[in-house]
Amino acid sequence: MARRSEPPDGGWGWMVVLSAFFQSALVFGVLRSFGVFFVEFVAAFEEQAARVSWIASIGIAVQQFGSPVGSALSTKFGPRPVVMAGGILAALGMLLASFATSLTHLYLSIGLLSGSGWALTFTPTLACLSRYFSRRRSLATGLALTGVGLSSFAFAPLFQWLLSHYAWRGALLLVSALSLHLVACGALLRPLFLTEDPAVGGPGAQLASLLHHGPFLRYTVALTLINTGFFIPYVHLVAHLQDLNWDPLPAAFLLSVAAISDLVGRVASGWLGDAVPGPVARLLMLWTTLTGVSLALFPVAQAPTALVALTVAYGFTSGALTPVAFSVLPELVGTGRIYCGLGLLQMVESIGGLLGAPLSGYLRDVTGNYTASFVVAGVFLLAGSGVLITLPHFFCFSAPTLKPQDLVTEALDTKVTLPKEGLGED
Amino acid sequence: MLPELNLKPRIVTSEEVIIRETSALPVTLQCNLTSSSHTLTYSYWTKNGVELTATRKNASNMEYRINKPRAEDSGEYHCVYHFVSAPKANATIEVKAAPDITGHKRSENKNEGQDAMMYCKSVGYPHPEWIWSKKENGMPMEIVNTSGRFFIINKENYTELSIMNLQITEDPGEYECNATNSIGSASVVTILRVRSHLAPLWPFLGILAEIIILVVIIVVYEKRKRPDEVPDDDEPAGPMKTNSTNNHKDKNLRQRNTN
Repeated sequence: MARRSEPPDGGWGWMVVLSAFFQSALVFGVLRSFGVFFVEFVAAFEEQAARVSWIASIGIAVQQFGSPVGSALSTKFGPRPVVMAGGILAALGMLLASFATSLTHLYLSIGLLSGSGWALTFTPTLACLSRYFSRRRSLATGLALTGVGLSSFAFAPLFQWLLSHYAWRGALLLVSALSLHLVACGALLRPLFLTEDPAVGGPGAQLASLLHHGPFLRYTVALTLINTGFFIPYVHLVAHLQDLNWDPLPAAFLLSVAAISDLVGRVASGWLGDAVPGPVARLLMLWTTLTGVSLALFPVAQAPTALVALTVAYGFTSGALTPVAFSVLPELVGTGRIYCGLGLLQMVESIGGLLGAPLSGYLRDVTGNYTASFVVAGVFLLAGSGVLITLPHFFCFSAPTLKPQDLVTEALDTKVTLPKEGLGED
Repeated sequence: MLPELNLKPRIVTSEEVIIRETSALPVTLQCNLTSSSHTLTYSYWTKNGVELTATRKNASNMEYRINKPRAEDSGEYHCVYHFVSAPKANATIEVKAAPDITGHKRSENKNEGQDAMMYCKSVGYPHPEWIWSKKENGMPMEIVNTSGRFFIINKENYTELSIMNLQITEDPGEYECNATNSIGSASVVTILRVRSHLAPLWPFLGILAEIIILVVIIVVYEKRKRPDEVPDDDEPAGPMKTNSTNNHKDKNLRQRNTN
C-alpha cells in the first residue's frame, strides 16, 4: 500500500473533521453540561455539592492524564480501534453509573471509566486530524473544536429534558447511548500512512525522542503556563460579576456572549492560521498575549459596556488560541510523532489547568476580590507567550510554511537517512 | 313555695379579632360576667377546647392578652365560668387569621407503580377549605379523578393527597395545595417525580441499533471503495508494507543523499 508523502489536506480529511467535531461535542460538551445532573445527585445521595463536583473533576483529570496512553496505543494500532474502544468505555461508564447506589460508585464509573474512555478518544482524534491536513490544518482544527461550544448550548437543555422525563438513572442510560456515538466517530478515522511513519519508530522510541527534543519541551512549558491562566475566567467570571452586583440573568447572558465569541474566534483563527505564512507559533503568541491583556484588564473595567467588550475580547482571543495551539505541534515534532507528542503535551499542560483554578480561588479568599486572580491569570498567559518566542524559526518573516518532514529529519538522531519529499519521483 | 327564678348568666365579650400579618399590635380578649345568680368558683380561658395554662382565676372580669399575634394564635377562644351547684357558662371570642401553610414536602420522588403521598399543614382560623390542583403549563388545574387513583383526606388544618399506582406519563408535575378561609388563602407547591426503569430502555436500544448500522455502513463503504486495502488494524509505525518499487525509490534517494 502506498504511503503518502504529504497529508491529503482534504478529501477524506473532511470526514475526519466531522468525526472530530462530534467527538469534541460528545466528550467536552457532555462534561460541560454535566452540571445539570449535579442537582439531582445532591438530592438523590444527600451529599454536598462540593463532593458531587468531584465526579467531573476526576473525569477531566483521567482524560488528561490518560492522554499519553491513548496516544501510545494509537501509534501502535492506529487511531480507529483505539477511539472505538474508548467510545465503548465511555458509554459503559455512563451505563454503570445509571445503576449507582452511592457517590463512590459514580466516581468510579463516570470519573474513572468514562474518563479513560475519553482519554482514548480525544487526543488520538486530534492527532489524526493533524496528520490529514497541513496547509489547512488550523482551519480544520478550528472547525472541529467548534463542536465543544455548540454542544454546550445543545446538551444543557437536552440533559434537563432527559432528567425531567426519565429521572436521573434513565437520563444517564440515554447519555450512555449518546456517548456510544463515539464508536461511530471512531469508525470514520481511516488510517493514514505517511512516509515518515516508519522512521519515527514505535511509541517507546517516539517518547524517548520527544523528551530530548528541545523545542517540544519548551512548547510544553509554554502551554502549561498558558493553561494555568486559561481556565480561570471560565470558573470565576460569574462570581466576579456577582461581586460587582450583577443580576444572575444578565451574568448568564454574558457567558453566552463569551461562548459565541469563543466559537467565532476558533473558526476565524483557524482560517487565519492557514492563510498567514510562517510558523503558526507567532499567531499563537499574538492570541495568547491578547488574551493575557484582556484578562489583566478585567479588574480595571467597572462599567457594564467595558465588561461586555472585555468578555467578547476574552472569548474571541481564548477561542482563537485553541486551534492554533494544536497546529503548532505538528510543525515542531512532525506528523509522524504527533500522537505521542499530543498525548504527552496534554498530560503535562493539564497540571497547569488543575492548579490554575484553585490558585485563583485561593487568591480571591486572601485578597477579598478577583483582581489578583485575573491579573495573575494574565501574567501566566503572557509568560507562556514569552516562552513561545524561543521556538525555532520564530523570527523568519518570509519563510514558507515548513514541511513536517524537514523537521523530523532535524529532530531525529537516527542514522537512517529519510526519503525527502517526493520531488516528482512518485 | 315559689320557684326561684334562675337568671341565666350574662357574659359580655370583646369583639372578634382578625389578625393581619401587617399589624403586630397586641390583642386583648375580654369577658365580663355581668349578671349571675350563683356564686362563681373559678374561671379560665380555653383555646379550641384546650384549657390555657395559668389563666385560671376567680374573677368575673377575664382578660387574655396576646402580645405578638400570629396566625398560630388564631382559633376559637372560650372564657369559661364555673359556679357552685350550677352548670358552667362560657362565651366565645373568635380570633381569625388567614391561613399560613407551615408544613409540606418540597418534592416527592417515587418509582413507577408505587404510591405517592403529599400533605400540607396550616395554621389559621376559621379552618380552611382545601383544594388540590396540578400545574399544567404554569396554571393550576383542579385534579380530576378519572382514573380513580387519587385520594384526598381533609382535616381541620391538614390535608393529604395520595396517588396510587403512579403512572409516569400523567402523574409527574407540580401539585399545589390551597387553603382558603373567609380572611384569606395560601398555597404551596410540591413537585412529584416518577422514576421509571423501563421507559428509557426503548430509546436506548433504538440508539444502539442506529450506531451499529452507522458503523456497518462506514466500514462496508470503505471496503467497497478500496477492496484491495488491508483491514483497519494496520500499524502505521510497523514494518513497511510497500512493494518492491518503493524500496527501489528509497534506495535511489538514499544514494542521492549521500552524494
